[in-house]
Amino acid sequence: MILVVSEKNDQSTYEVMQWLKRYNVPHFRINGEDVLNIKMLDLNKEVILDVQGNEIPLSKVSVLWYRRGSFNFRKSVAENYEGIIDTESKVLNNYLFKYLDTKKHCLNNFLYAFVNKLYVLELAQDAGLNIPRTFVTGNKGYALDYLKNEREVITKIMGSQFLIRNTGTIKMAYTEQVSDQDINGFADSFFPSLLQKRISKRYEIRAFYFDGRFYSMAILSQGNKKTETDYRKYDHELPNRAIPYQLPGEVEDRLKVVFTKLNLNSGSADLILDNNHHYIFLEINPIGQFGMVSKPCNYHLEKKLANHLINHGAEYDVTLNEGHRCKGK
Amino acid sequence: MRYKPDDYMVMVANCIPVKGYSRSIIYDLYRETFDFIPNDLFDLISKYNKQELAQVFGDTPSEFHHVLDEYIHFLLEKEYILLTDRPNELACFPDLNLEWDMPATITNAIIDIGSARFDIADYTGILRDLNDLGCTHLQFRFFPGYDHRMALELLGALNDLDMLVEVLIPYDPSQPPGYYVNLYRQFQKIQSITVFDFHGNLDFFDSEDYRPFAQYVRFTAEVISDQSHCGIISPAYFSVNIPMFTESLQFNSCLNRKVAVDQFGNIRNCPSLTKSYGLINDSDLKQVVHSEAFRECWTLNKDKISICRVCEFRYMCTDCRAFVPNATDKPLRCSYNPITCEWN
Repeated sequence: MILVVSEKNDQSTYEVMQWLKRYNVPHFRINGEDVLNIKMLDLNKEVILDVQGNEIPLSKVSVLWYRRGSFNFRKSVAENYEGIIDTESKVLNNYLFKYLDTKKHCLNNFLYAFVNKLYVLELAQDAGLNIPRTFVTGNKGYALDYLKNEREVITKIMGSQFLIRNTGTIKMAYTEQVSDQDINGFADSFFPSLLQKRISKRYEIRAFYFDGRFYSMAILSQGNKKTETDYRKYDHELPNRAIPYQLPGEVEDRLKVVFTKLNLNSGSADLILDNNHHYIFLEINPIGQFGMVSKPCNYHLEKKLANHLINHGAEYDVTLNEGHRCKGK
Repeated sequence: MRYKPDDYMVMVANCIPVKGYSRSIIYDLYRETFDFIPNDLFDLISKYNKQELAQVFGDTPSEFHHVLDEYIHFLLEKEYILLTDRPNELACFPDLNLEWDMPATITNAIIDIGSARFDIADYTGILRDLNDLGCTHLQFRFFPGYDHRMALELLGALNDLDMLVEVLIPYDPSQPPGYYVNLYRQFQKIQSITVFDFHGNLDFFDSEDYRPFAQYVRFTAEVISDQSHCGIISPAYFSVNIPMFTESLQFNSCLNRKVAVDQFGNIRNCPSLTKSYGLINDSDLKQVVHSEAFRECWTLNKDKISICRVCEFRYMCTDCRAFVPNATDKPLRCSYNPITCEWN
């Protein structure tokens, strides 16, 4: 059986599962929103999850596709006890995903889904990729000096993307250019922030890595003021062109080294081709939205992913009864 | 926008020129729009994609250079081409993969229900089969004489299935028009409702309660008494996108992976086609749609249809194989002439 771990509204998961359904392969999806329990975890014997009434013995799982989310054992408890529940949940998650990692074929795993942006940049540089000059400071003097040296500087978050929901508005952390007025407005000491030399870009590249291959897309955003610094600031009237792209073999080989060091067998890498035609590595997103690459380039990644899961699952396949079938959405 | 003689022009891979008899179209499959271009620009793009501009100019008599200049500006302005002066960058721009596939064995279905009486179980069986076949888009067309109670039951049966439904239904004068908005609200799988044979006024849509639903619940005075209201070819139904384009390259854009049940319970590829593959109460839908015979028209793409094969709209067009004089003739209800480029 193929086990899919994701979140409820993830469109790409839905589309991959439509293929699993078409090929009539036993599969089960667990969403981060589903409240689970453990029926039994008998060390070195068997683990049986209870997913909202469905019994899932992990011995019957042949392949894991970890897309996003985690196992959610949360039960409502008194306020002061939430910390304990969190810690206990973490132990269980780490054990279960480690169990799957060592015993099953995994297309990504919760264990490796959270990468450190700074460390990844170092790895990329070690692998021979160009990276933007990167600097972290919480000191006004250092920040001003850095800006003076590099002239054009951007800032972005070091962690993963987050959304702040206020009444009626959603705020997202975009990449923004930083001016000396910005820095002059700061206190002498502020929260440590990531600064990077701004790169003049010919285009941006998003490369989805999976099964040893890259499926890349170039985003031609330079002509568009709205998206110059961050293409996610989508221009709905005239969306930036996104086209299929083929990275040179040596760039792919170097990226592969980074993915391998991070224990990732799938994920998205962001790069820039600068105006001097140098590839500059920006970051890796292990749970990147591959739909946004698959659709404009017609790569059919959803089908390829499903086939990959099926091919790796065939060796162990065990038929599960109808009741365990996922409904899809 | 400037260009240099040593620039190479690269056609953006998801913008594809299609040649017609008298003019061509660039299908912008990414922005989902299109532009007409003269056939000589089509030829120029085909011949010189990934070539140096100096060569294009060199091959063109100088009295036409101003036209060439205009063409290049147009292509640049629309971002149909990009320029590079580095020949080694050309290998970075592969062609678009033209494969088409969908997880669903049947992608769309039409069920017509009129005065002929079948057991509700026959219809719910069809719905379950469609769900197993991966069908996500369903159209229910209720014609005068249909059983309203059964209609409600069928809409309710969709709650447990993974498909959305468009509903076409005749107006019942004993109901206020707001009744149909409530239907839309009541059944979670209804995507839109078209209420026909409606001659009243729609003031109720002005109220705060109903206004948000005006785009999903439409009323029309038109009377639709059977399946013959179909097959009209019009730019309003054209769609320019990768799935449509790639499907049309290989398959019939109307009939491929479609199944229909007409109002007399016949399983057909389309309700207006004459060939029946059995009645819903004595045939297995899954078996029918897997048979070679049922799929006979699926690969009838536009390149096999006379006149259409030289039409510049051929990979955005909905086509129709029901209202045609002969199997591979242009749709009767298409008034476009690709030779004169006129809609009559």
